Amino acid sequence: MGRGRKYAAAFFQVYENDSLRDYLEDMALKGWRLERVGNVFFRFEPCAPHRIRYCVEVMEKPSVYASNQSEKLKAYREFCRDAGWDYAGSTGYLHIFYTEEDEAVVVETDPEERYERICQACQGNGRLTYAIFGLVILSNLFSCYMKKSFMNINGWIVLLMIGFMAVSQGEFLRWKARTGRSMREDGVLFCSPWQTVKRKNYGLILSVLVMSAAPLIYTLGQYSSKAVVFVMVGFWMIYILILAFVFSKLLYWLKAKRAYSARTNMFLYWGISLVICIGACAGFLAVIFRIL
Amino acid sequence: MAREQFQSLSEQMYYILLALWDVQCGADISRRVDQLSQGRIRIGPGTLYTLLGRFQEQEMIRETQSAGRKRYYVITEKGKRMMYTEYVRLQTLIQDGAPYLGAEKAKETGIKGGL
Repeated sequence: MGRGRKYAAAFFQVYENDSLRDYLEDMALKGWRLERVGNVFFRFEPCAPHRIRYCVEVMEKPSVYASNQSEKLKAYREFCRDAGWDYAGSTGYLHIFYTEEDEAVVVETDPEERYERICQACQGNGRLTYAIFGLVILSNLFSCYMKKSFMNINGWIVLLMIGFMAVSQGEFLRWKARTGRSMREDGVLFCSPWQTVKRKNYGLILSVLVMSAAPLIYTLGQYSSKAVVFVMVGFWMIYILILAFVFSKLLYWLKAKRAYSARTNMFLYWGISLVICIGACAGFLAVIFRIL
Repeated sequence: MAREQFQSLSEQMYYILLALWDVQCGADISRRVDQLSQGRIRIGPGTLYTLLGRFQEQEMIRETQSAGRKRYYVITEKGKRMMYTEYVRLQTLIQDGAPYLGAEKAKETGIKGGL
């Protein structure tokens, strides 16, 4: 066979769960079975191309602090297993089930219930995102106020972030409107083709990376030659990606092991997060001093 | 559990409660619903789990025993009263609609599937 494993980014929003389902089923038809669900990536293993049915359901987000899965989640999974659905894993609010039985009834057959859960989960995600973005926008607006001008890097960052939030929220509202129509007409939730969803989400992620790198590039550009700036920025971004990879491995390990108490898990989670943030800032300062 | 807005049961709720007239466990409930509705209503395990939890909260069903992972349920007297109320409501709807939707009327208007 000679085919190794394949990794794919897990960039699907909560309301794009049915698009994720279609993506996983298409991968199975191409000979790739979902092996592991990570926080950032899905891992696929090669298999003979055949039909595997998936259900991606929106449920409570497993806590990284919990030393055990909640009883409700365990019982839910047992119910599904008895009905022929095995559990593949979860990423955020999205829980993935699969079966190779054609007769198995889909996990959730109440579209109104699914719709309510998706809306509640999106609200939960939205609050944290808007809080973080709000803080960054406020700090940049403050810089604009101190400089007495909006036409600078801080102003551009504010515009980009507002644009990003508008696009994200706009996509969700568009899904809600289309789902309202499809529920009335066909009794099902609206689902975009997964190829469109992936392209859109990659675009959003790229814009976040640009927003993150722009102030650094601009600041460094004040002090040194362009070639040195881009090389140093490149090294710093690779360094950040390595830190993010280590952090995601930690999250997966904490979720999978569940070997420690909730307090220990919380200490490990925040302790390592702090170390990683200090490492990222140290890397940034090292880049700055190297340039200077 | 009735829908608060309309004080009525959805089809899935109705058939689950009907299936629990006899003691049943999780997977058997889905099969029984399939039989009772002659294949028209199919309930997924996730939906079934959620509804059983709500029925228990409302004391419309109770757990009779658990054998390992399997849990057995049966409808309570409160559940039966709510089912009877729903049954009477549905009968009233049929009676009120009969002059307009009855078999003879359906023939006159050419509507298929009249009662």
